[in-house]
Amino acid sequence: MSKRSRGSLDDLMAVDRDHERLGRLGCELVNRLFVLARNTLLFDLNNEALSHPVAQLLSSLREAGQLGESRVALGVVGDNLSLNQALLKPDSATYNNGQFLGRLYRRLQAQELELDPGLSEEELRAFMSALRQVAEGKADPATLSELRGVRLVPLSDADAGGQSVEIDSRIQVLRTYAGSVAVVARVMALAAHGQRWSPSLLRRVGHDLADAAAREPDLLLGLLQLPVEGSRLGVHLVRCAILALLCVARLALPRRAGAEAALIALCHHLARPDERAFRGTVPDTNLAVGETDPLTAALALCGGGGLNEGLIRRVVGVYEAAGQGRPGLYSNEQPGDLLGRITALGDRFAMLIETVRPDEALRLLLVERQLDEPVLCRLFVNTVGLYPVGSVVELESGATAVVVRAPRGRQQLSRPVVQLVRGGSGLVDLSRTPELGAIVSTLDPAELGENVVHYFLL
Amino acid sequence: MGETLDEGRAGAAAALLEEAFRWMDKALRSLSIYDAGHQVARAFRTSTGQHFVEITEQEGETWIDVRAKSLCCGEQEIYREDPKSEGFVFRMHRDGVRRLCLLPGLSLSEVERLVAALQTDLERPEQFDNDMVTLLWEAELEHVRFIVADLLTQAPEQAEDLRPYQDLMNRIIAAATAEQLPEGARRRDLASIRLSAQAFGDLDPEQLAATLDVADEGSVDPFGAMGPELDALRAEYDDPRTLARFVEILYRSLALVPERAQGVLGSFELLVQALLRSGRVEDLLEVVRSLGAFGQELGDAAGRMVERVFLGANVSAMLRLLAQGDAAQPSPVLDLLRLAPAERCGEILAAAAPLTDVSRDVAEILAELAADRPALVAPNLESREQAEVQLALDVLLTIGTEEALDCLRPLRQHPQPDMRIWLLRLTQDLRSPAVAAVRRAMLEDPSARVRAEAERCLARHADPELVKRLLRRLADGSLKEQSFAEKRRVCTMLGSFGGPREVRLLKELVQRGRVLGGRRQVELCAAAAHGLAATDDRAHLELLEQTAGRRLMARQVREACREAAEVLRQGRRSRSSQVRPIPELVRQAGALDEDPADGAAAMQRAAPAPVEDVGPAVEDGVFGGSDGYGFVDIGQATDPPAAGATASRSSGEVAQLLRAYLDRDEPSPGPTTEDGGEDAVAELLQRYLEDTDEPPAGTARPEVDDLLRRYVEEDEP
Repeated sequence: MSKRSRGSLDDLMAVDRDHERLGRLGCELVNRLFVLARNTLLFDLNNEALSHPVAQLLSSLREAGQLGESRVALGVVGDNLSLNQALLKPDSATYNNGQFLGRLYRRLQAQELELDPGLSEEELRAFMSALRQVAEGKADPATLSELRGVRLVPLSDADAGGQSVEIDSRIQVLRTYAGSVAVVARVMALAAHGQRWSPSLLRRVGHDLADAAAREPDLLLGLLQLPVEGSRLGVHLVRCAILALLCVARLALPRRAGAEAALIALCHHLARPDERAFRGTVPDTNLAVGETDPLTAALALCGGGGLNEGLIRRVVGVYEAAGQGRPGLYSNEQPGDLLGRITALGDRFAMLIETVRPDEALRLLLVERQLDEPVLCRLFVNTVGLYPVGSVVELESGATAVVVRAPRGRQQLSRPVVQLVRGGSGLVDLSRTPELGAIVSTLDPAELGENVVHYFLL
Repeated sequence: MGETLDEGRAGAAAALLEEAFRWMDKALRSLSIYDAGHQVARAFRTSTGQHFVEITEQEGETWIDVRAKSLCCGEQEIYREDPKSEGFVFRMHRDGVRRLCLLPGLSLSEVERLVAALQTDLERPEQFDNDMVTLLWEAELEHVRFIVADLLTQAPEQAEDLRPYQDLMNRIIAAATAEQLPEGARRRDLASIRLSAQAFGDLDPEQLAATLDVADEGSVDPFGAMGPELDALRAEYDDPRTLARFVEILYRSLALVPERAQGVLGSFELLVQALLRSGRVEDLLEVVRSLGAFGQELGDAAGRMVERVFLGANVSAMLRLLAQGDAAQPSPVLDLLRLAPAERCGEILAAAAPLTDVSRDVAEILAELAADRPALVAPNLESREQAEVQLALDVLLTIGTEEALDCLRPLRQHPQPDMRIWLLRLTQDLRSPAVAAVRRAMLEDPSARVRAEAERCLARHADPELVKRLLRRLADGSLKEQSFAEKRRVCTMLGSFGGPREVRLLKELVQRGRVLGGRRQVELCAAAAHGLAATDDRAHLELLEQTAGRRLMARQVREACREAAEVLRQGRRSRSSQVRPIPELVRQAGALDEDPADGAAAMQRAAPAPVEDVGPAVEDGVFGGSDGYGFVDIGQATDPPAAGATASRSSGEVAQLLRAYLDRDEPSPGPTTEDGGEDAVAELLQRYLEDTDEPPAGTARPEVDDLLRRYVEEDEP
């Protein structure tokens, strides 16, 4: 009896251990699949950033095979995560990752993803490639069913979400930002060498940024804190466009106005007076207007591409608003085009944040422009906040936090929503938690030793 | 069964779409024939819209693949264009549209806008900067999604060209998703700066042009952050061409884009500061020289940049480097300072003044720089800083021209007596009219020490004004109030430089040193005896010996006469040995005037001592100072202890006491009781000067009256 009992108990304990291992493995698989899917959406397939997640996922699949599982079916139905129909008990991070997978599954019109434990790396990469195409809407989810080692269990008709389900808008916004920098850098390089370029490229970048600003304004503001990568000019112009866009959005103007502002910001560098004007690129008649005026420069540089006259006038207005060129000579309106004036502020702020912390940059901007542009300066402050997104701040309580949201009202101007980093944790609206005290100072993000963008991106 | 149902549903959707796009084709063709407001065109558009709305209502989310010449729903083709035409499908595909998605909620107006967008002729000039993607976006189609190929992967034929930009995009994403900051990632991103430096450092035009794409040549402000980073760059890019190219770009930016002057000059300042911080003076020297070359070519931008090099803070840094360097080796800092604009002389002088080790070298350079415009240094003479005033004085004297010496005038009103004395001593060998005027003006100086120094200098040059001045002091009673030492000094000078008339006055005074005279009169008469000794004329020996033996004479007068007689007998106080012979002195002064530079070379800035004193102007133990006037620099109480009555005090204390006493210009601490004798002498002297005929009645003693009368009646010598 006792032996039998002992045997049953051991068996039960062994089953429990297997369940426990499976549960742990299930959470691990959720997290690893999340990282792999996220990186698949973020990076090109040949990027090194994908190598490690691929190896990790394959390792987990092998482990599942060693546990005797003939298949690995990760399911996401509502809030529930399952492995081979067994419910998982995820921690909060795993739960959040599972929610990401849930949105991905709905895009794939599936409720479960079944993977072969013996899946090869080639097969997995083929799956990733197809996943990328489907997630971006460039292919039908049905294409995934043709892959080896992978099977999708479709959603019921009632749960069907459609292909337009957004998986994670932040990922798309980040890609938009990075792509915009690259495209703008390329266009500017072509323009600088007098080569032909398509003006619609910049217009499309403006449109993409306008869409991104409508979906994730805080993230866009936070991305201004990213260090300059590769193209200083590209980053500057995109930053400038983002700031102009968000200011226009704050004015509740139509999104077309925002895109127009972004376009002006992206193009305004083309009107920068250039020594080319002296080398016979432009006819003497234009030189007579003003040898170094922005219009001459714009005409010279736009020869390789082409901006319409209205846009050129607005671009020139940026320089007029900044006190350069000849005020009112080329722009249609007096004392200057509104979008051009907003862009001029964004331009200056974008320059300042290259060298100083964002809150210092804002102070410097106000010192420089408050007298000339009191209303627009107020608009600018209301848009980015006294502590722009990404600022690392120290609170009266001694806690350190990262500002993660632009102000939604007057109270949040000086007491924004922050993510506590030291001396606490979690997302906190300082305007509603007086016990944490006010912000006493800002810190250099480098002192934090962490990538602040990470706090409001992922 | 499920697949059959799906296939059936897909087939139904495809059929509906096929019909809808047929109507759309008609609507588009009608717009090419009719005006948009024409009823036929409107009718076609309305029918098209109804079909599309019906699809979304029946099928929900509907996806359409856009191919080069056709549209497909799944695998089923639903619309095909004429292969010979470039219709809306071709244009969409060409511009990157790959899929369309019709969402539930699509309205007729949206379809109308979609048709209008697809119909737009992109060849028209006003659409020059549009394509199908931008047109669809601007159509505000809330319920139509369109999937577009990536801008950087759109053209396979450009794949190689686009690769750097795709890498750039990946780097940005990686930077954003990294949990830790990339190592070394800073706001002023070193990587891009390095890249720029590489580009700027390469002088090969082709390679430069190729790398400038990513280095952002000509971007908004690519240089602003580079200055502080040059230190870090130096280790990796020690190529001087980098710096030269960098400066050239800055210069050209400034010359060609003057409205960005502030930013460019700011960047240049950062560069200069970085070079100075890292001690790269030679590099900075090259920078300034190259700017000089630019300036010859293109204008004054180089001048503006050079001015920035010599701003106050930068000059201070240069001088610190100079002071820290090896004094035995020629320093590039001095070469650099020689390139400074003359307008910066004042600032450089102010910065160099506290650095005593280097100020002499700097003074020589400043003298060269300001040789044509010495007035640039004149404001420094008004400084409250003693060192700065001294250095400015040094510079002006080194220049030595009449214009430079004329700039010294304001210094005679300097609030510090020591500075005024310094002026006199540094110019004591000069015979310039301007300097002489300054000396004479300083005879009226409120400070006795300054006046004494001025007198000494005038004596050195045998200035006729001196004798008049001494006599005036005797006459106006001011000397009467002074100490015996001062009286003795004045009389000694009269004896040395006065003519027969003044000698005769001294003799008369000696003979009136009666016992009954007041103390001040006695002192004056005793001083006159010393004045006679200064004449070096043994003819006075008899008078002095007689006076020394007369019992009616005051004891002090008799002692003075004995001492003076002894001096004459031994020839100790020969006029020729007291000071250089005046004719010789005048000749030397003339030589100085002929060549100011030689005179300048004779200056001893560190401690310009007065020339050998004109006589034992002070008694040991009274002044105690080495220069005979009790003047010592503040804090330099290094003179030997005084003997006699003040032996217990240090010579420094005595000197200070005396200096304070003289500066106050108060009466000497002698008896203050007035007596007729003193007044009589005063009046005698007054009348001697004013040539009055009658002395004031009832105030003069007979002896003085006689003296006065006789003296006045005599002809002028």
